[in-house]
Amino acid sequence: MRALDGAAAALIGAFGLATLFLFIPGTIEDPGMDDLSPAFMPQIVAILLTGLAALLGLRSLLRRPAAGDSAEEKPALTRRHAGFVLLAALWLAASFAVVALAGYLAGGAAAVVGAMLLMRIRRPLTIVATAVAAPLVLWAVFWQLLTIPLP
Amino acid sequence: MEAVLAGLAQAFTPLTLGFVLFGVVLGIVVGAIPGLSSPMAIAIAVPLTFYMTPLAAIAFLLGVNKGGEFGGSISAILLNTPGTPEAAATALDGHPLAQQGKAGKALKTALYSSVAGDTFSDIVLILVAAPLAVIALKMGPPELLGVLIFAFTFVTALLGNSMIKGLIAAALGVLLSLIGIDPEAAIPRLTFDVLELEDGLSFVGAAIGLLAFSEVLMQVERSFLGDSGAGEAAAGFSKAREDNAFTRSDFRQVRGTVARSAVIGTVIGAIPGLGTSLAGFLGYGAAMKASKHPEEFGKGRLEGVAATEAANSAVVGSNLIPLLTLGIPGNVAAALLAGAFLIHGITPGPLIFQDHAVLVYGMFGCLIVANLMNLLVGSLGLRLFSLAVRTPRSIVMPSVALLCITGSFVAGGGLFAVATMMVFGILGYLMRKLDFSIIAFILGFILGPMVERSLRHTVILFEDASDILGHPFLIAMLVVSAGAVFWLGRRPRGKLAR
Repeated sequence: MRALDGAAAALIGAFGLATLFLFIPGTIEDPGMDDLSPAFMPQIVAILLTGLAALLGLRSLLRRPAAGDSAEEKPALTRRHAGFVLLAALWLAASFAVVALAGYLAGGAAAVVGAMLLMRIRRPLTIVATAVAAPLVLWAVFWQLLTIPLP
Repeated sequence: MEAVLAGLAQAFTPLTLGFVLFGVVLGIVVGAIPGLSSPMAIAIAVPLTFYMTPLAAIAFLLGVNKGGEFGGSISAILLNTPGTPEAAATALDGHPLAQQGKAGKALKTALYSSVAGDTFSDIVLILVAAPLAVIALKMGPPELLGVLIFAFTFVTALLGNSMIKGLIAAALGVLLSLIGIDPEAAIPRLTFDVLELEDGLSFVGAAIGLLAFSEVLMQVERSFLGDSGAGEAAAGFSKAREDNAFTRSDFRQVRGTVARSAVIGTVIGAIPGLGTSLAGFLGYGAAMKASKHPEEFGKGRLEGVAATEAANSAVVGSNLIPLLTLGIPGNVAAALLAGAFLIHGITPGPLIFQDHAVLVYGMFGCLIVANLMNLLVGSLGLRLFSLAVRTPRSIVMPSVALLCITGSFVAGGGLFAVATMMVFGILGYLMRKLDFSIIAFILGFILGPMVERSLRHTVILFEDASDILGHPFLIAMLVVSAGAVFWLGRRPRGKLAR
């Protein structure tokens, strides 16, 4: 966890600095008012974020493992987790694309199928039944019952 | 008095009662399913309230919250797998009771204790909220800023395993809340010329992503990595009447425990950040200490079930005290309710008693009604709701994922909101993995605009630093916040669970 804390600190610190020196100047105009600038609060928070990230990084470097920490404790993020995140991102992107291009029912079915495949469900009947039933039920509830339009 | 009567009259209309009932049923079912929680149910239910009146919407969500608190005990007792984190302590004695064939008795004890604790804290809320709001109205921007700083430091000091991580999460939430149009100068901030961002990031989309969708990702990941999560087989119900009834003898056995735990839960709930799980375990611990047979706890003592359920349900009502009086949500459920208030154009805080008195008293009426509904529905449908625990995760999680997509589309009005929800879902997943508090993030996201307003007005008010001496309350809050940082922030972690 110490290594992950260090990595998280570096990432958050970089984000804070980027916000302070790139995003804020690039996206917030100075209206030339006598009052406080619109960039005031974002700057305060970005400075705070960067400072806290530095503290976290420092703590991860200086902290000794506690007596209760186990050397065999599983790391929170491993390459397998990274693989999962990548696949999950692909699943979400694909589902989003199908919803945008083909509508809610098709996109919903794609989302359900993708989730079940990720969960290593391999029973075709279960997958098909859930992929058909879940979007249909929700479509019926939202569009037909509540008259809330779906894509 | 007119507002009270008008509010109560609105609370007892068939439409409002219907929504409360629907919310309670939904909350019990969702709370009973392992892997789903009451805050998840509320987050997904918020988009459904768009087309309701404000009172109906709040009543519905309160019903979901209350039903969810009891629902979590069903899987805790039957499966030894709590449906909600706060039901973890219920499983300690609830499941052994079920294994002895006394699942009916355990479930009824949980239900009655839950309703009793909830009702007690609702009464406290009704009695103290208005007077506290009067006091809160006397606070100016510097005093409010002090309260907000204290709330952030106190909450992050108690949550999770690291105060620094909690503060980072809160700061990130505040930063993302600033995206949109600046409220004073009316110019875009951090929108990167994306038109959809000029309205700011959708709170509902963020909440669904962080709370519900990230949990879906966690559960999907478990299966992906090979944890089938089969769990224990559900314990059964004995045919003996004695094992399924809650008798007078049982009532005499647990009444003191329920009263004690109701007080504990009410106090815990009134303090932002302490969490429902803490209330449950504190109630359990107090019951064990007070018992003449502490060695029997963990083996099927009714007091164990009663203590936990009364305490964690008592948090529900008192958690609204800081929300209504200061506008500061005390836990995730309250934060989601605050979001629902905002969606319906109502700003929680001390002015709500002046500007929306009828709504507030209507809400108080709905709180009591929801408890009665919880009692009625829970009693009648106990066996039926127990079937919910058997729903396979392989069907639940993909369905919840689809529900998240649907809900965020409805809430945000388009596919951009769906994309936002997905991004927040992945962010929430990473935050859980790296032990950054999602609650702190949501608090920052909700309170960000309030913090900015207070800070701006304070800076404008103070011509120089010595002006702070004219605001002793602000000084006191800053001192207490510093104390929270140095004392609570450096305590050994793991002792005050979320």
